[in-house]
Amino acid sequence: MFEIENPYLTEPLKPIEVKEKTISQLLKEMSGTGFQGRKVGEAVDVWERMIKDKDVTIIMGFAGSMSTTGQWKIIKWLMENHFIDALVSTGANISEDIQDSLHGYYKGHWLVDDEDLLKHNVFRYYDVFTDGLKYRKMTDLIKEFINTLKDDYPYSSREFCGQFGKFLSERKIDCLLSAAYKNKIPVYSPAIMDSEYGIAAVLSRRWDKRNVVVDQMKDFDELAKIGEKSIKTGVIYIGGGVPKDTVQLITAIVSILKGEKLEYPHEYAIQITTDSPQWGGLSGCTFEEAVSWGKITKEDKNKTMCYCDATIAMPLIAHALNERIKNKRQGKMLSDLFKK
Amino acid sequence: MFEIKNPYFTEEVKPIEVKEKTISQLLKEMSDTGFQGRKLGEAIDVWERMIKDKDVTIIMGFAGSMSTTGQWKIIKWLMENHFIDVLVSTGANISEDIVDAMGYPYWKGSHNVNDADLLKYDINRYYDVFGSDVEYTEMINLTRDFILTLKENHSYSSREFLYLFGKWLSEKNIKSIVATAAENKVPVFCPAIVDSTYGDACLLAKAKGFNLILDQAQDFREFMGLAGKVKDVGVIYIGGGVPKDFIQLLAVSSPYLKEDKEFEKRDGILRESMGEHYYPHKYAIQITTDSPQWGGLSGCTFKEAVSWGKITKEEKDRVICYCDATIGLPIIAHALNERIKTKRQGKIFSEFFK
Repeated sequence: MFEIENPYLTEPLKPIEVKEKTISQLLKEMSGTGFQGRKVGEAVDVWERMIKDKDVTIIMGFAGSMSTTGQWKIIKWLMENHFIDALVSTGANISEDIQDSLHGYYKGHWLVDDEDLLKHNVFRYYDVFTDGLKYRKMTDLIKEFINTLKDDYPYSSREFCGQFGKFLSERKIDCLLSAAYKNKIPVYSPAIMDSEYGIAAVLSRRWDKRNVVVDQMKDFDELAKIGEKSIKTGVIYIGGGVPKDTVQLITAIVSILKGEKLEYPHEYAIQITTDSPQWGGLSGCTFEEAVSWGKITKEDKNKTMCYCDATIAMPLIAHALNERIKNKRQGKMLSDLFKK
Repeated sequence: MFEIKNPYFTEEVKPIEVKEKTISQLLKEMSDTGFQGRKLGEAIDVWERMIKDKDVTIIMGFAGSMSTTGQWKIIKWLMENHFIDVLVSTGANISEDIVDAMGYPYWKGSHNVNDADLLKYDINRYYDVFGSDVEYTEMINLTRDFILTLKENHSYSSREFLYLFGKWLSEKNIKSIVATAAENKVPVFCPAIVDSTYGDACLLAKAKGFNLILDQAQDFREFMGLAGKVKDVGVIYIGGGVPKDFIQLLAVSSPYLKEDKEFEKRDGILRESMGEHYYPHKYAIQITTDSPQWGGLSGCTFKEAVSWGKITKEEKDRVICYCDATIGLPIIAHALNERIKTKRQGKIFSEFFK
């Protein structure tokens, strides 16, 4: 009996053998296994290829409230090494890191008397606690900054975050926006008011009679410009939410503005999420679904979705990248796009 | 103004700084963050304490079809180092590894593929892993050949059956999980054994006129009998399912073996209303992708298990990490390998290996 070659059986899986190895070696081996273990390994490979492709502008979407869990210094490190060129974040992630820098977070518990926490002014994030009274001081700091801005001028969230980064940097507050300012990384927060920034902005208007305007239109216009000026785009999504949706939309507006091709999908894509496709939302939807929208490359090898808590996957991926890539990347310096 | 100390602020979260470090250092740092990253770090701490507590017998529940994803050699390594003393597994995990050990690998596939076409090519898909159904059948035939060497109409527990199978495979140099278990005297139980290719092999043996008896009641008696031979129990659950349920029952069902519902040599807790003792597991770790809100056992919290008397009330000795085991298990095993430099003595149930 002769055997017909089975076209589906091309690359054998390799069981993991436990022995001393580096983080990146283990992740490389995990990419030879199955399920989400493979995906987390592949995520490092895709990111590495993205970093080494000189034509790529790397945009990160950073959702949720991850800075409270000790992840923000990883994002800071990514910016310092220019492993990302632009950050699109929730308001939470770029304010609660300031809370950490000023007042700290505490290890808490997910099984606790929340009414008693309320009495003690403790805010809970699953198993992390912080001081609610000091949280308000962080809000006050944002308000103090807002009051230094021009009234009635339409700031994009990038301009707003850039100015705040400078303000924080001058006060030597170690956080994402001050690091972004120092490393010239544009930071967008398309739903910035849905956070302490919104509270601070309202207080500035009501109490201090100021009128700061953050212009959503300008935000999207600038992001479209980043898309138009990039040869290729690569995306990294930590969670989904507004950051993922906004960055995905860049491809749609670029294809209309440029009009030469039908679609300008992101050529590389990584996502880490705990959401699932069956709920129908954008946060958990597969990159295959995004192919139908022309938003993501059809190339399977350039995209990977890992279903995992980012508090597990992100530290692993970052440390593996640190082992694998020994030179800082030459960043795209997108801030130059918006110089007057 | 003086500040009143807030009783909830005792231990700070430490943001992770990226630099060169070992796997176990990174995991130690993750245990000072939040969410499931913290849990994964804590899981290693709990397992390490379990290993260093000389009074503890460690039982692992191993659910799902994890061997197909390349996890089975990690389980072998755990047995070789006696980081587990007893294994309770699904049939899938201790049969699908045999295919790989026979020299027929699994293949990297894709979750996004034409499954009707796979069927034409005799490929079974496990999410993004492909296996050849033809090679799978060779494993079933091998299992049938082993069954034909057994005694007819003898009540085998899954433990006895799997020990004999392990010895048989070991002699054939097929170093699967059960072969390694037999070599290292680690008893393996498989409470739902026929719900797998073992069931198929039983039918193939039956077609040749051989009547195999796999006696669930004997299984339960042997497994519950462990409770009288140990001091404390620690459990590690990879997934949930029957393996987790079976091991959880050890804490509360085992005293029914005794007329007075008590093991005199153990420190149990008396449930006065029923006049029986129970023996909560002293340490517990679980890695699962299931969630508590569905109400099932696989995803339920250890806190829920406290109400059943099955798990310790000590929070520091138990941890559930919600994560795919294909991520959680390799990471934990490598961190353990870095941290624990000597083989554990292990609890050997030599009466099972005569």
